[in-house]
Amino acid sequence: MKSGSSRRIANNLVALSSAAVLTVYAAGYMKTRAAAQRLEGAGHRETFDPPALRAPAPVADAAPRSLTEVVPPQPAPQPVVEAKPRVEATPAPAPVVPVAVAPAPAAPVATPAEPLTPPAQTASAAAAPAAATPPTAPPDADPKPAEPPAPKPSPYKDGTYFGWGTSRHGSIEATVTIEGGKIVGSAISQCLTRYSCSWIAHLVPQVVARQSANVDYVSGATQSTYAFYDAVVEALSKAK
Amino acid sequence: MTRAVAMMGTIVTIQLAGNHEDAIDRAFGWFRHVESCCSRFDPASELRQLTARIGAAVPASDLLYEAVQFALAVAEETGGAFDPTVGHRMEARGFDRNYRSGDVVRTLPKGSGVAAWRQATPDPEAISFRDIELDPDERTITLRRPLVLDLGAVVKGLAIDLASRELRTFEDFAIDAGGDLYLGGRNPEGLPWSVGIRHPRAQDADELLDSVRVSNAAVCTSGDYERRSTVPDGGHHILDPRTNEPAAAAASATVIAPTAMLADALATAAFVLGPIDGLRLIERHGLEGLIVTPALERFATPGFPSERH
Repeated sequence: MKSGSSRRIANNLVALSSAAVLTVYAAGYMKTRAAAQRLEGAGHRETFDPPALRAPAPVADAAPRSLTEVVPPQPAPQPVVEAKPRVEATPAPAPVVPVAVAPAPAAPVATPAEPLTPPAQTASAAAAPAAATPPTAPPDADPKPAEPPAPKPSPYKDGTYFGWGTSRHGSIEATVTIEGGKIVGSAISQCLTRYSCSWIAHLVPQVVARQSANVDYVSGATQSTYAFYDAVVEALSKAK
Repeated sequence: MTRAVAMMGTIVTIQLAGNHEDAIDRAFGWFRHVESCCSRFDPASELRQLTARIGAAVPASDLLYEAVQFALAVAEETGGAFDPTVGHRMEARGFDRNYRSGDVVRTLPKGSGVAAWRQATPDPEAISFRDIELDPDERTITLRRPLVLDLGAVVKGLAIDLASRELRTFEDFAIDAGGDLYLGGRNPEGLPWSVGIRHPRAQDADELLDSVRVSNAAVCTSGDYERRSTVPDGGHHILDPRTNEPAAAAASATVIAPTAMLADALATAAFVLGPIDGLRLIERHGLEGLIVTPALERFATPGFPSERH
């Protein structure tokens, strides 16, 4: 039924996707960006710099831990914009799940191949601000060093913020902590779902409890990931 | 090390053996770059700038051009079961919210719903991917009619692929963009990565449809359990572009491919096509896939690397 021509197109899709990735990657960040800005004309675009949800240090295991372990110690009193004594004074009754950084395996044990960093990458990365490093041109492509864009002022005010996200399984409250304009911690502070918080711990994000069903990752989107994303976005909207 | 960031409407997680902050920064940089270029929700995105200029040959960045070119190739290949012009239809069904800012994005008149969309688009059935014209020499894109381009199924995969290209020198890494995955090399135990496939009717996180072992491959799944529309009768988010109704032939479609861009696009197409035509499509490309119907019947390619069957 399928003609030869459709078979030819079919075969091309695999090659086409690989070629597309190579083309965009080789063009590098700056070139693609330049074209985008040319399109916009003189208009200056304020791009939102998405948050890097980082916890201070990788945690050793996947057990639920308290919010205070996720958010780094504050030298000064943290301004809490939407005061919720539940979080400030007493820990939430439900176990709080860290989501900013997954429990990283202590060491890649049985992996013989040690990661190699090409000198070019190391050099360009070292010269660039850590937080806003754009992708550089690949070492095997255009050697032209990509210049990082000027760092933008953070749109966020320091503090701890709360936001809600809802899925069909229920609602999740996220807490986001901003310090020096950067997100330094993020956690689920409350969940009102049909399932227990431990169930949420299995899903948001998956890496928190990757031991789930003995697999490394799970393919297929999860409602609670969306809910957590929405909650973080709502919390961040209050930080502006 | 592992880092998780909220972006592209979901949580993106990158796991990499060793401590390489700068490499992970660059990998996330690609996600940011793709999102700022191709977001349907950001009026300043290159994609939205393009859709504001109907009838003109608009010069496109490599990123947008390649994304559109690939989307059109998949649309052609699937006879329109995959179609990047479903934008208006998505919006009519309530996918009008910028999940980053919470702002409601509306290009359709108020009074949302399918009726309003039909009013706003006099001949909606006629809008299709064929209204997009590419000039490969000038690298321009021409939209012949007013339409909303939705590259969601392509650009999230493309961002994963660009990030994985960035991390390629490290060999062992994993990228998870809301359940769309690329697994490079081996897991921390030195084995191929073990990937569970979400059960479309799971009531429990531990309930998986299947699991596979993969290395240097993308695994993407489209399911009817994905983010629900905010319009009460809107159904789930994957429409059959040929009928404008929610696709009903499959509950879940998984594709394993060399790139996430291809895996994601074909998973979306296979979900719309259903088990028979969907598997035919996947096999025609020499790829592996698993499709489950709403009645939970399994259909897999003969070489699907299942650990359970």
